[in-house]
Amino acid sequence: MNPATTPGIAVAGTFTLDAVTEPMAVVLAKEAPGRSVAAAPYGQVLEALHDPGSALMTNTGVNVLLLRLADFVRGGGLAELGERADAMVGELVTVLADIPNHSVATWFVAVLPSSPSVAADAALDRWVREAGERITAAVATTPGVHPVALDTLAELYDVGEVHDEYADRIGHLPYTDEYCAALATWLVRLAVSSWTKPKKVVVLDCDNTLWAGVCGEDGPTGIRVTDAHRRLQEFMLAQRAGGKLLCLCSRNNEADVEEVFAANTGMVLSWDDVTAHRIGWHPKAHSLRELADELDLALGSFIFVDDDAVECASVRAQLPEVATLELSRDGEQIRRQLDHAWAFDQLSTTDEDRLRADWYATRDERSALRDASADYQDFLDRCAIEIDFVDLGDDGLERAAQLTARTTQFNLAGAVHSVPQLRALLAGSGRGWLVRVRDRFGDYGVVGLVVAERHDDAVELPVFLLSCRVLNRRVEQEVLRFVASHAETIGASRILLPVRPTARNAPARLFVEQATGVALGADDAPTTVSIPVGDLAPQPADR
Amino acid sequence: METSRKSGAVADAVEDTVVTALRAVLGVAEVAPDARFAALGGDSMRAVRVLSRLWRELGVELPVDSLQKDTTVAEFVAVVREHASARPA
Repeated sequence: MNPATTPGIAVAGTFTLDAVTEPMAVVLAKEAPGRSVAAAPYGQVLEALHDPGSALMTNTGVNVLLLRLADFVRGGGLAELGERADAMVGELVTVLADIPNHSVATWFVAVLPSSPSVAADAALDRWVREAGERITAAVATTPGVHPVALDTLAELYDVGEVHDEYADRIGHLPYTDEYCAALATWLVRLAVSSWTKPKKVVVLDCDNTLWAGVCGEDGPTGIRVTDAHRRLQEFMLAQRAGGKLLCLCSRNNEADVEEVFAANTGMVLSWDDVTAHRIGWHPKAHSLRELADELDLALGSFIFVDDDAVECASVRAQLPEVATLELSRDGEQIRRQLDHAWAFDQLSTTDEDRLRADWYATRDERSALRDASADYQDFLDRCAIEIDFVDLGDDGLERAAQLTARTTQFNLAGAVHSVPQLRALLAGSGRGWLVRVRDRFGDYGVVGLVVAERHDDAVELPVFLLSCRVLNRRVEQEVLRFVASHAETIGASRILLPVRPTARNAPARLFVEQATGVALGADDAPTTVSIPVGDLAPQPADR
Repeated sequence: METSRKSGAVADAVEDTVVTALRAVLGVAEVAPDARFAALGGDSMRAVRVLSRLWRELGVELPVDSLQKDTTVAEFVAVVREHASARPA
């Protein structure tokens, strides 16, 4: 594989894959140009997992396994081939559990639906179900390997006929083109979600978006939360639980909108679920910019949902980095739009995602205390900040990888690392720590990551990042001191900080400049700054 | 008289079904009798789809090699017709 090309998707499976990989290539070319689809030879799954030169084991992008378990007894049946099939499933389970030690790719493992002929054979049906459970259980506990649920796929894409019995018999093509196309689209969608930073903010219009009607004219109980709008609100509440912030942006009087939240019993969302809002008469692009400033989040992490074609067109033209969803007025259509809006996708949800929206809710208390504090040190003392350094092990890798993908402002080297890549760093001379912060207002959860690698007499930090939520509370200095004492313990004399200036990591650059006195220009090429460990030995708090 | 008209009708139905299957599987609007399968965009996977469709619609079990890259539409229709008329009524 040519390392200069962008990593793509490699697929292995138990049946003829062309019907799936062909539409995958078409969808991928549209959604992620420059990436390609490769397939292992027909029927080779274990071979593709064992051979270090296979399309999958050489891939650093996304690997997909398509397992139709009855294929393990194809040509002989359970009575004749059952023992061999059991052994193959056992081997598969073993190899899958060990995958993170051999592959830096992100893996998706799908157990495909059984053909009607399998369901008619009770013994085979039971064997297939049990084998599927063994594989799914193995996958669920392996970092970087994700099970793919296909139960609702046919419904999601309105697939009429799933199975193609005769094509299975003569060509080992068990599924219809229609089903294969749906599967292909879903797999590409999952792959894209692994390559894309999840969005952080959903900005919702109100009239004819959250409800049907116009609250300024129809009144708080005159507007209607229809079934479709209730489903939309439930969807948004689930997005909030997954870590996205919900904001409102509406051309209305603020009091009229608040009154709907207070008085209309059909509302699913409550006013407390809304992190920030711009309700008034400014152009929406202007309001979105203000919300981005207020939350200190990039507009590229925003999704804007509005039913008004003109508003949507205007936001698309002025803020192309915002993902804009022009909501239908038709209820059934709204459901489909939400089902098929890739912008809401997020590959995995961590505890910190679940805490984020609540954290923003206490932000005002924090800034009020800052204003009241006579001096900054006093403010920090009163915040009672506690920092824990948690050894990075397998169970923290998911969150660690997510932090590398999401943290843009305080991120020195700025590289995105997958779970397997982080594992590889730790397997060598590297050690990593998750930075957990709490203060008197609550738990921020894991908000930082530092990885240290030993190089002769130096300790290099390929990853040093912190969420912008904890910046300017001296957490960054504490992390550096922690690393310094680690360096001292292992006898290193210098700390090396690789820095890659980007459009958004000014806070990280500023920190390095202050810590080292070395000036870094905004347009500088990647560089490595060296700090003697002695300079970082524990200092009085006023430093 | 009646017998021959009947078999003529069967033959036309077979041709219609084959042409419709080829159009649907290959995604082409026109299927000329002398066009070869590969020239219409056919390959072994699409051949399997065509044969599967004809098995569902006409009940004919055609061998995989009955639709090759250089098989013309007319030749294929003839093969399908043969199998269809060989089926017990």
